[in-house]
Amino acid sequence: MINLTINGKSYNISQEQVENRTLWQFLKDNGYYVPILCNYENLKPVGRCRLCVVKDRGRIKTSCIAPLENGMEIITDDPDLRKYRKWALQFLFSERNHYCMYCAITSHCEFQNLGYYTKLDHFSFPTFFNKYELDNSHNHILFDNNRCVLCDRCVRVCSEIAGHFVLETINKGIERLVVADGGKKLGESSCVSCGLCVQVCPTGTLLDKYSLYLDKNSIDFNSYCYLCPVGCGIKIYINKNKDYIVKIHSDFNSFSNGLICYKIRYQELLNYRLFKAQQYQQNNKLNEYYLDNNNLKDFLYSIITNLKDFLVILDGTLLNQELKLINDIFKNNVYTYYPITKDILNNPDFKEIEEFQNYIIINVDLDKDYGAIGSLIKRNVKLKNKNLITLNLNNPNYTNLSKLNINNINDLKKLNDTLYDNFLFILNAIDYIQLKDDIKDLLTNKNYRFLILPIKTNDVGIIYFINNLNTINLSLKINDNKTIIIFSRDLKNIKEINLFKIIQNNSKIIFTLKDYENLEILNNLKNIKLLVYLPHLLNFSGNFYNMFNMLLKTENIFKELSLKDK
Amino acid sequence: MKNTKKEIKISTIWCEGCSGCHMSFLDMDERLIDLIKKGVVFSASPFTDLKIPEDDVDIGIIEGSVATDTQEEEVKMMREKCKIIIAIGDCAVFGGIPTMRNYYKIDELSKRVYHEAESNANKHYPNSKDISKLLPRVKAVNEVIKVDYYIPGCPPNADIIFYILNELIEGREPKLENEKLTYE
Ligand code: SF4
Ligand code: SF4
Ligand code: SF4
Repeated sequence: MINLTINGKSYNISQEQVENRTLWQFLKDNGYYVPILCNYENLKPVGRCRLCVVKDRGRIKTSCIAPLENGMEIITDDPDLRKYRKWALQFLFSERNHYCMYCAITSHCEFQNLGYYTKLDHFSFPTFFNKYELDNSHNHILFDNNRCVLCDRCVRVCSEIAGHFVLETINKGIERLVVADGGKKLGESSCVSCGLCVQVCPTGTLLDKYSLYLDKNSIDFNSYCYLCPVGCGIKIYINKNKDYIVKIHSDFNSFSNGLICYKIRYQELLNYRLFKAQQYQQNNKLNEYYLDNNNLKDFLYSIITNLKDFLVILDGTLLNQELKLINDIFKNNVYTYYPITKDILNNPDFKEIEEFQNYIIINVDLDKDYGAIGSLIKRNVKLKNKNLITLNLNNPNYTNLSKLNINNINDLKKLNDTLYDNFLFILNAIDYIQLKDDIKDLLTNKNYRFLILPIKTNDVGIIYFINNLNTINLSLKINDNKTIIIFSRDLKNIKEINLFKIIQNNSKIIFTLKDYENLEILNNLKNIKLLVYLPHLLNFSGNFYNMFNMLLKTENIFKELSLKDK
Repeated sequence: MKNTKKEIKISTIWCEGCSGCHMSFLDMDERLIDLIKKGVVFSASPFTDLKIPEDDVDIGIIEGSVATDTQEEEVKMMREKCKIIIAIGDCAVFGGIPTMRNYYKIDELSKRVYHEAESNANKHYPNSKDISKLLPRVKAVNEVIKVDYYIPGCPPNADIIFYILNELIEGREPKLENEKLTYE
């Protein structure tokens, strides 16, 4: 137990509460505002900006790195402290270009707000002019070092949180510079476009190209990413008039602790803007219907009454509500075009994943398909000295980190003789079904668990809601007389496994999402009897289960603007 | 300064700026009349178009940064003639957009502008004795003279300019904070 006072008020703090908490965090938790620039959420504090200075028994302390001590007498705000903070800030303002009038984030800039907080209305010394090149090489990110205040948030988030280790700083003092991969252009570096550095940058240095100048007065919603089975917590920012998405950030307060990847951060944002643009175009080649949940049921019944012989194919791009309805109506005729295993329900959760000492990744490029899991593994391997083994992988972001790269499953045998124990196998559901017995045979005296990566977002929902799921070879089931009913928001995969070839002659009813990629595929398909559009998941509130068996909700961000039947 | 009977002289000059701050100044509209009713006399200013202020000005307002030898002389003259100096707008206060040229040497700059620029047909460097000389570095006003009050903003809002002038005339100390303090 320690005692201390803050602005005259005394506090007793248990030892448990003292640990893992700095003075600044304690002040924040107890409602005291102390400005800070270099700190961000759960990044490790570094005490770089010196704005968080407070007084302890008359002495100045940098609160973000000061441990809590018995007998502290803290003053959080007085004219002296304001003066020091203003000086610290002035140096930062005058070192590089902070003429806000032509900066893309002016009026919602953390750094600028600190200027207002300290009432900085002029500089007390001449400004410094050192010109840095504007880096426009990245597809989604604009990088202007001329506005950098060297807080290192980006460097830390790229390694500590995202696990990508792209950003670092070079040089010393006023010449210090944030660079990618030791000095490459961002667009030519190993950056995987998670956008976390942009999200945490308190200045207009790292910028989202799609939200330049658009971010004033935006409103944010919490939601979950529905693009892969991880289901990261996200914050969606839309403009005040609710007609476009400004940007999509990760949510540091959700189960995924701020992780995110390029898919929702940039790819979906772009796709959605295209999708919206398309709504204004008329393209009535086929019978087109839009459906939201209210009229889906009646519509499906009307279909089934006219059909004799049919077969339903669906995937995990559907939400729980949709799956439940399909199960009620189509009963035993529902198939998936990839295998689904109930063993997914035994997956370790985020915390448990971090507790393993050895990871074995089989076949999957985590950066591409399950970004947040990739971050989790890479940061553990690099920062906590865990062991990585890769099987059949050629992404250097992983193979360079791994102790052992093997190309044949039989090589796992070698591990029996090593000191390593306690493995986590990371592989997708298809490989799991094929390899689990082999692995059991090969690894005889080791402890291991599986992290099974579902193929599509809501495969766990399929386990729960489709009672008589058929996952046998589809081609055996298909004859020319059957009407094939497909439910999928993403037809790409169905195309990739050549299913469309098999069903080319069948009469088809397709429920999908109206986006460019799907439309292109549809244009090349014959015998589509009926085409129905499912609501976009940014326009629709519904539930799904992620790979950790958590029930998550997608938020209809435009509520009153949601799609109506056409 | 609180004596509404006595006249209060205000003068303004425009250095390296875009005149946006003077437009904002004129945007005080009918409140300019309020100020006049309180005894303000606008001497050298957009109203009179006089370039040289009188010797006993109470409040001198400077727009723009200091980029030439002439501007340097002018702001010094303002300091001598005015009891209170207000730097108005981001250029006067911080240096602003004109300081973008500080990234280059004057030679590089002149070469680009007068010899290489696609829009410049006669490739002639202006060298008349009447033209001011560029200073090696563009400066904020407070790098040349002492400034008493700062109104940042690009341009500052007319409401803020009125607030500052009115407070000074009423003998109060103006405070730029909250929504009154803005850099854009
Ligand atoms: S980064 Fe912030 S403080 Fe710097 S110029 Fe942009 S808006 Fe102003
Ligand atoms: S986008 Fe992500 S991977 Fe790329 S530099 Fe930023 S934090 Fe690192
Ligand atoms: S780029 Fe942004 S986050 Fe990174 S050090 Fe500079 S100001 Fe900080």
